[in-house]
Amino acid sequence: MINKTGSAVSVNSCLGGFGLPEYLFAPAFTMCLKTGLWALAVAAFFSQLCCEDTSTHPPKPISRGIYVAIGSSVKLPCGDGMTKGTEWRVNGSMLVSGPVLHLHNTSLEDQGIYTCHSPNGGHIETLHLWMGYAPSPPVVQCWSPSYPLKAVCSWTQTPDPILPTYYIATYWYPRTEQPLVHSCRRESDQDQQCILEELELYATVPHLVNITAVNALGSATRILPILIDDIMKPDPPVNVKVTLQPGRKLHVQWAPPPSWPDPVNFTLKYKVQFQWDKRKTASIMGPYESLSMVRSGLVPGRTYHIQVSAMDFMGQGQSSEWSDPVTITLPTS
Amino acid sequence: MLLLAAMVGCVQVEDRAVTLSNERNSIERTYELTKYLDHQLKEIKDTYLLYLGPPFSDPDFSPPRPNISSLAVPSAATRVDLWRGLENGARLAQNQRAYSVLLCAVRELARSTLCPYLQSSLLHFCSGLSGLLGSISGLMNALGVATDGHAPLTTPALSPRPALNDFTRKVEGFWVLRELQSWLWRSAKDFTRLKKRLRTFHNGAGHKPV
Repeated sequence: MINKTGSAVSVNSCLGGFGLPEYLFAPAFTMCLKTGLWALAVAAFFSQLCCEDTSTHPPKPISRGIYVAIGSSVKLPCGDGMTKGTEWRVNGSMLVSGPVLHLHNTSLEDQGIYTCHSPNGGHIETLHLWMGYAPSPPVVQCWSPSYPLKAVCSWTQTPDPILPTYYIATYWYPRTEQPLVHSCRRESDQDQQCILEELELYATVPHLVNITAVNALGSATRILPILIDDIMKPDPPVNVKVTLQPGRKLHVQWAPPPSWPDPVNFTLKYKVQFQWDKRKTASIMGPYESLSMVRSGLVPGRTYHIQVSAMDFMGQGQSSEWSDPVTITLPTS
Repeated sequence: MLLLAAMVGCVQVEDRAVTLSNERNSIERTYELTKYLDHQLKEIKDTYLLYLGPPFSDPDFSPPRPNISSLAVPSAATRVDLWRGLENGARLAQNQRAYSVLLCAVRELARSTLCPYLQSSLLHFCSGLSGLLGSISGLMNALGVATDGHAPLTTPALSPRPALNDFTRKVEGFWVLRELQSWLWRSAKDFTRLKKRLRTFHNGAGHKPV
């Protein structure tokens, strides 16, 4: 360091010029400086050992995944896409020579692991190619097997996206005050069925169900308006019992489906189907609001298959599916 | 004296039982009338939508509900917990208010309909609706519930009549029938609940209905 008068001065004397005692610094400072310089030298030495010298060792191969829509065309450059002499391989076999892999009108068979290699065989890049479809607006169906407490919506995708796809399911009722958006309850994000609760009954304005499908290639939404009272569909009746009575009569009993929460206030009516002749001929009786019926005038020796279905007593919504058949054969005498 | 008091008590209990039985019969008739009107409405609605033409006749078509005072129909919409908790009188009063307005609205619809067959069907429907309203008022009297009385018949629930090709007019007509449908569905459940509650009250004499 040069002072104002032009003479060289030591660092220590400079520090002394700041009012700090020189004796504190002379040995300690020198020691610290020496130690620091030594540490730097060691670090530089080891860095030469641990770090790759790119001039003599090749860089690590890049690995990446790409999602491609089936039917589209795609260009896949190797690295910067300009290095001559590179080649693309798939499953170890040479596919194309050149820095860019061009796939036209892709199909599911193009899915796989592609590797790009330098002219001397060095591995430059690994590409996982996943084929699939972007989501299409889900086809949604809703029904209420547990009216008035719950409704169920399920959906499908056509075509099947193939790629992992998750769904966002919500619904809301457009009240005059600010509507609340509810999450439609599911077990997992991949489930294609959800449960609606907190329903508005006897509404003239529909609930709006929003199902959005999302995957790596995009997203698609369906908004379905539903009137809860219109989509009632009970599950089939249970515990169907058929007993033979004197006079060639059959007494048929059943119970409401356990999933129907309130058969007292939300009454069901029932139809009973009798089939015979290997189920080619059928007759349907009802509707009944009771939980049993008696059919007479049956044919001796004939085998009957009996099923029961349920419906809202006002005929709203749909009938349930038929219950599992109960078979009984009338004695010949 | 004790014997006489017991006899009077028995007669009073019997009177009450007869009254309750009458009320249940009355509710049953009202309930059956509701079902009949619902069945009639299904046919009228299909014809009326065809009469309105597209897009009203398109399946799943649903125009936004007009937020206008001329369509002042109380909404039948409710949540199940609120519906279950309704007291008998309040339940009947809600029905009465709704059908008072709806009767006027359907009368106006009938008057503004140019198709003779449809007009005749709508007017016939109005007779049934008027009967239902009367039945509800009778029930309210029997249960000691204060009635509002019918809405003034001269008060139109719809706007003054413009030309038939007025889209707004058609939307109003669409919504009158939709509200009517919702109310008939709701009323059937209301009367079912009333029947059950009165039966419970009768079976557990002296206990409050569930």
